[in-house]
Amino acid sequence: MNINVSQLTKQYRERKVLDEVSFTLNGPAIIGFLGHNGAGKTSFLNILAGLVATSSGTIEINGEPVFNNGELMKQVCLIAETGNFPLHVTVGQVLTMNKLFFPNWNEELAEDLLLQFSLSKRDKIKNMSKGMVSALGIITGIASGAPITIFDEPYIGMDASGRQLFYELLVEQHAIEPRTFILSTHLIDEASNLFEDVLIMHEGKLIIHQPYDDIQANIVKAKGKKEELEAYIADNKVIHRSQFMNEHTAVVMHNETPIATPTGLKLESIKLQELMILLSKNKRREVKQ
Amino acid sequence: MNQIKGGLYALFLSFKRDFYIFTAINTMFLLLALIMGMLLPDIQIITIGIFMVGIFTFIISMKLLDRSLAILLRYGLDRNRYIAVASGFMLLWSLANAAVLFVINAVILFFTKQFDVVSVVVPRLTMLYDDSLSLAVNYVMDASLIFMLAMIGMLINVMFYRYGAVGGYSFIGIILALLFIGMPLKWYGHLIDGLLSWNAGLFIATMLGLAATILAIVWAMTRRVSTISANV
Repeated sequence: MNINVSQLTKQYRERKVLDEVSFTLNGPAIIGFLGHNGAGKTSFLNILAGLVATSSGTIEINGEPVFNNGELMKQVCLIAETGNFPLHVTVGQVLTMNKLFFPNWNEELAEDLLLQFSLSKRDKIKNMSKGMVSALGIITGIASGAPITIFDEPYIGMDASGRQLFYELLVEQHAIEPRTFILSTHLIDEASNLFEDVLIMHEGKLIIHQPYDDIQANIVKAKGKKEELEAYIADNKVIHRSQFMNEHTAVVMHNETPIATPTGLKLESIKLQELMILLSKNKRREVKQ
Repeated sequence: MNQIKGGLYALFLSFKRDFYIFTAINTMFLLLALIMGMLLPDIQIITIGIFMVGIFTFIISMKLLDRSLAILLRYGLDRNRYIAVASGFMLLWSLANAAVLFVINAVILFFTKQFDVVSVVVPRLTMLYDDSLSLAVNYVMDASLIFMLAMIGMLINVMFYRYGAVGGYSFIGIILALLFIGMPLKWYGHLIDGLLSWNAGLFIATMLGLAATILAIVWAMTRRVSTISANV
């Protein structure tokens, strides 16, 4: 399924949370949707799932607008951080609900996942720990069979083994029946190897949309003397700059993979997690100024 | 169709606990009234089942959007289907509550007749027109009144949801102001006279007509509503 976003803006009174965002996503793929707190990720995902109206711009799935489109939304499953299920229901009742709402619901898989996550059908949501409720969200998302499955910070309170199981399931299910999984997370180091495509939001704008491998190749940290660094960064986009004594550092995004390392400069690849930290630093610096 | 079924099922799961607890309490109160009437024949006892159900339904419908809108939209319902599900649920709710009242009223009336208890009065809407009307007619009248109250509750809920506490309380304030203005202008005398001059059929039709009108306003106000309440 293809997602087409054009000039999407969302504004709450004076505050613009999404600012003319445009991009196209071609599924099936596992997509990382990243950004610091308040970057606009959840706002975008809520709009994609038809929960919130846009202020301007369009968002379409396979050419159809998403807002107030009940038929199309059967193909989309959003698992948010919290509030996915009514409080006074049991796990078994949630599975019954899921069966009614998702046309591709895989009951057998759901039963199997209940065992894997050690959940009982008789457990009540209000008596379950945060991690257990998160596990139920993950089971819902995976077994929904929805061609577009969105996980927005789905593993609040989950331990490392639970998260690992989630990553394995994501890859396994994607291999069995390819679909579009969109994962928004702050645990980037853990999840980055899953991503085929990465979108990074910053201050309501989409600043990076590239395949994961290209990000690894095209975004580099260059260290060296000021003059050499200036010459190196020239027309490229600088994501972050810093200085320690005489050593200047710049995180640079190339349009194409750099072929050779210039003399006098040290180039290092940068991890996604580090990139996010640098973007957050930029934000804090802007606030201070 | 499955979305509608799923929506009704989700609402049933969300509110069944409230229904059971309230019904148990209400039934106990009504049966207690019967027992007291039998033990203390000199004291006149008036049961208040329909008032209790009306107030309870009003409170529940004022929570409907907050409890269910975000979850059901996440499950893929669009706003039109959500309103169809929510109003359908409230209709079933009204029928179920009226059915409970029907059974309790029938039990109380049976025992008062059986044991000649004259001190217990079971107020029924049919008494407004014709005492000889059956409990079945009363059931439909109860259900239509409860449904109308549910729609008013939903409208207030939408006002709070969309416009926050300020908007919600302002709306209630305007309604109360209109009700107070009605006193010196003697609206209520005319209203009661008019109400008493109707018949059961007209009462039911009016209640359902009012409910449908309010539902249309609720529908218009939720066409672009988001999952983020103005109260957040």
